[in-house]
Order: sequence, then structure tokens, then C-alpha cells
Amino acid sequence: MRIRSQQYFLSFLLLVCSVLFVTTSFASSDAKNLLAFQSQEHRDRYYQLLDDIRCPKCQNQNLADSDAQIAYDLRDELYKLVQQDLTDDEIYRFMSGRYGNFVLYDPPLNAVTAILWLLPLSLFCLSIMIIALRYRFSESEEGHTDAD
Amino acid sequence: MISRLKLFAPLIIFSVIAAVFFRLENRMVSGEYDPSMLPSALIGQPIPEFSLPALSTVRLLTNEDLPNQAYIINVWASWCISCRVEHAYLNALSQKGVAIIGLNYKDKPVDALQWLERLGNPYQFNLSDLKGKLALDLGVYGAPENYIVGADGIIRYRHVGILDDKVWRDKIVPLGLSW
Repeated sequence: MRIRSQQYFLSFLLLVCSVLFVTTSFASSDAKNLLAFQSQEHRDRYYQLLDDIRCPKCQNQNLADSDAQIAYDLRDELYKLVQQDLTDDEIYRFMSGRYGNFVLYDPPLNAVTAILWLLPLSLFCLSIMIIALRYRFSESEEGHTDAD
Repeated sequence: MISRLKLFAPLIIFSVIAAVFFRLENRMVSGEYDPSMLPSALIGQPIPEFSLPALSTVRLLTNEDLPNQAYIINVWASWCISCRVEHAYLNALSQKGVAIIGLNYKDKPVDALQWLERLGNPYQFNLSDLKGKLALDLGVYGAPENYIVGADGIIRYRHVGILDDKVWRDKIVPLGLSW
């Protein structure tokens, strides 16, 4: 008897979960279809760019994630730009021209950002040098003891 | 001898890192450095072109209406609490003869006019930017923000947050503009 009721409970729980799952997946697909696009390609670009542009207000979120007022405005603006058939580069330039390179997750290489590329490279070279020096040092020491 | 020194390497590395973070922390506490403040992309550039209604009238204002002297564009709204804190200082500045243009940002004009009536009006005029169009072109991401513009119409400095006497003395006076 006890086992029976447990089984009922489990199947009820399963039912609830599946209903929730189905309704939420419907809800999210609805939200995605709210905006009308010229083509599927425009839609895909819009959502790709939402992920690739950082919100200037909520600094660790992209435009898709952020709930800041400015993120709403920039999403509207991005929608217009995509519908106007601007290229990705033109859209990145539009955003960085107003909000700076900060909003780009892939910043351009210039005097300020050079350290991002040069520091890892120089640390790598430095470590290679240290390893090489240590290797030669220990080798010559061995040679020394051999001679003794 | 060298192996003795090696023992201290972790301590030395720790001290260096601790010193760097201690300095950073100090600069953040003193307000000298704020990671949430972005440098403006518009420094050295003219005010973007705009055509917006004045707050008090239906007249459309454009870049032609901007002053021929150095001025401040203050981005504000009646829903912005920090703007309320800032307002008294703007009143004082305008009494000293500093030209201030208001950019009323995504606000209800009725609320904005009531605010000016109650708290005083330091502005030469106000642009009513209901949709945040000019604000977006300026790179505004919150209110208050202050754009310091030279007599030539070129943006010299942007201050995100409340404009007060400290900001005026430390950041704006060194720009060397004649007010």
C-alpha cells in the first residue's frame, strides 16, 4: 500500500515537471518571436550580436542578459541597425563610437590594449628563457662533478 | 645562499601583489578610481547633431542653439535620486555664471517642469530627450552625467555621477576653460 502511494506521488511529480518544462519552453520561444525580422538570417545576427556586445551599465553582462534601462535602449537600437542591413563591423563601430571599446568583447589592438597580447607572450618567452638557463646550469654542474 | 633566498620568494611575491591591491583599494575608497566609470568615447569630438524639443516650449532646438562659450551639458531626470543631490550645486554654479544646458533624459515633461519650479532652474535651457536619442549618441548610460564642452563645441571631459565642488576643482578647473 505504502509503495503504491509513493509510485502515484512520483508519477504525479513527473507529470508536473513535464508540464512545467513544456510551458516554459513555449514561453521562451514566444519571447524570441516577438520581434519581426526580414529573414531568419537577420534574426540570427540580432541574437548573435546581443551576445557579443557588453552592457555599459551592468558591466559583467552582455546586452542579452542585462536588465538595465540602457540595455533595453541598446537592444532597440541594435534591432533597428540589423533591420537596416548594417554589417557587423558597422554595428560594432556604432556601439564603440558611443560607448567606447569597453562594450566590445573582442577589443582592437592599439597602444592601450597591446598589453593584453604582449604580457602573455613576454611571460611565455621569459619562462622559456628561465627553463633554458636552468637546464644549461644543471648540465654544466653535472659536467663539473664528472670531472671531479 | 641562493636557495636560502628562494625560501622568501613566496613572501616577496605575496607582498608585491598585496601592495598593488592595497593601492587599488585606497584609490577606490578615495573616489579617485571607480571601475564602474567608463571613459567617454566622445572626448575631443563635437556634440552629435540633434533636433529636440525644448522642455518648456514646443520649439525644436538644434546644435545652432548651443552657447558660444564653454558650457556643461547636464543629463538629469526627475526620477533620478542622485540628480536631486546634485541640483543644489548646479544652482550655485549657474549663480557664478557657468552656462549649463539640461538634457532631460527619458522624463515626463510635467514632472521635470515641476521639479524646476520647486528646486530652482540652473539651466539656460532644457532639451527634452523623451526617447534618449541624443543621450544614446552621447554615450550616456545613466543619470546624472555631465559633459564639459569648450567654446569651440568640442567635448573636453565627461563626468559620470554627481558633479560637486571636488569634481569641479580636481577635474574641471584643470581643463583651463574660461567660464
